Amino acid sequence: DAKDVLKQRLDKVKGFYAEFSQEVKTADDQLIQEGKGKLWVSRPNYFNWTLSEPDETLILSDGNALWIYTPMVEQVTVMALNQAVDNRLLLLITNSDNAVWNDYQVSRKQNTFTLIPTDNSAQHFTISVLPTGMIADFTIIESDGQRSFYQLSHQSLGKVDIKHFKFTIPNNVTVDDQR
Amino acid sequence: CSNTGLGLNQKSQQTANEKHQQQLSNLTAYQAIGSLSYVTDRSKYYGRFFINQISDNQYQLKLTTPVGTSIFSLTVTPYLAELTDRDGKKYTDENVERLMTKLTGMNIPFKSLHNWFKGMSNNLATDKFDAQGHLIKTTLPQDDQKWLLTINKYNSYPLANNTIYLPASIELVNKNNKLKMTINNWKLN
Repeated sequence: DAKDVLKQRLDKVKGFYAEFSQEVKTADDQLIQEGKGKLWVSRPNYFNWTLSEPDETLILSDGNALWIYTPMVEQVTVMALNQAVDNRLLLLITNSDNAVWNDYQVSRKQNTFTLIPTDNSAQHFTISVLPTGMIADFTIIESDGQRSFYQLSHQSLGKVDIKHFKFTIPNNVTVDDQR
Repeated sequence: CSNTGLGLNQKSQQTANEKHQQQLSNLTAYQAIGSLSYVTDRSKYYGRFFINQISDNQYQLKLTTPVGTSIFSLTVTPYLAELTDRDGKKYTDENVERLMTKLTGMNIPFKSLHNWFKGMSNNLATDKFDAQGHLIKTTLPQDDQKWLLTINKYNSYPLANNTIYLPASIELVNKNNKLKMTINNWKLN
């Protein structure tokens, strides 16, 4: 079914790098945020989501913990990977065996897959994955219809250097450890 | 005469200040996109904001996480403030500052946001201006506390075959709270 097709496609790609542009719009199509950044993924479980504009935020999974670093407030938040509610889509993208897949029903139209949560947690997702496994875009959609759309570009598929998934806590930041 | 060559004398500085403040007071509808941090002695908040100022006493403020998911959405009208949290739950109060302090811990001067956010003030005792007549420092009273407002950067935007200078970076500080706002873009209808 659609879920198996999506998983098979994602499994074709061991890792990738991509640049992205981000647009956040309300249900009535009002643009409320724009951003840019870079994304590195290495399956299973590793990702580095670096938002660079309008200012920097780093969201990094080192395989067992999720690190969120916000330089503007000199703060690092760390939580267990499965607690990462806000970044569930990346948990899905980076591991086809993650139990979080059971929380979603998947429907498909050509290369666009829609993931609807069965446990009615707010967000559902759409993701466009080509037969080669390359991800073209993804969208996080909230219950009030607000959606955050990510257009990927400059993708390069293949092994990604592990250094992208290591995080060292900078000095003089406060650490909010939620593990 | 002043020894700094082009130095504005008292009179023309005054006119420059008044000219800019007048421009700002005519600007009652706009949208602004940026990011904010709010640091207290106990906690730190960060989010990306979208402000839709509909009129002087009506605006919307949406705060999202960097990934674009909702933190809260605030709608302020002359009679009522309504906050919608990330799960869609709604809370109302006729006092926006009381509502925000209670629900988000952000105790900032929301009632006068339409003035200080665009660099408008008429507190002659504390207002400080730069040579172009733009407000750079002033004191903002809010209930029993006093905020020091600093606007350290302005950007210019076209407005009806003219240009208007609007804040690009604002700081509000009082004894134990600090709000920092970076405004990346103003949309003037």
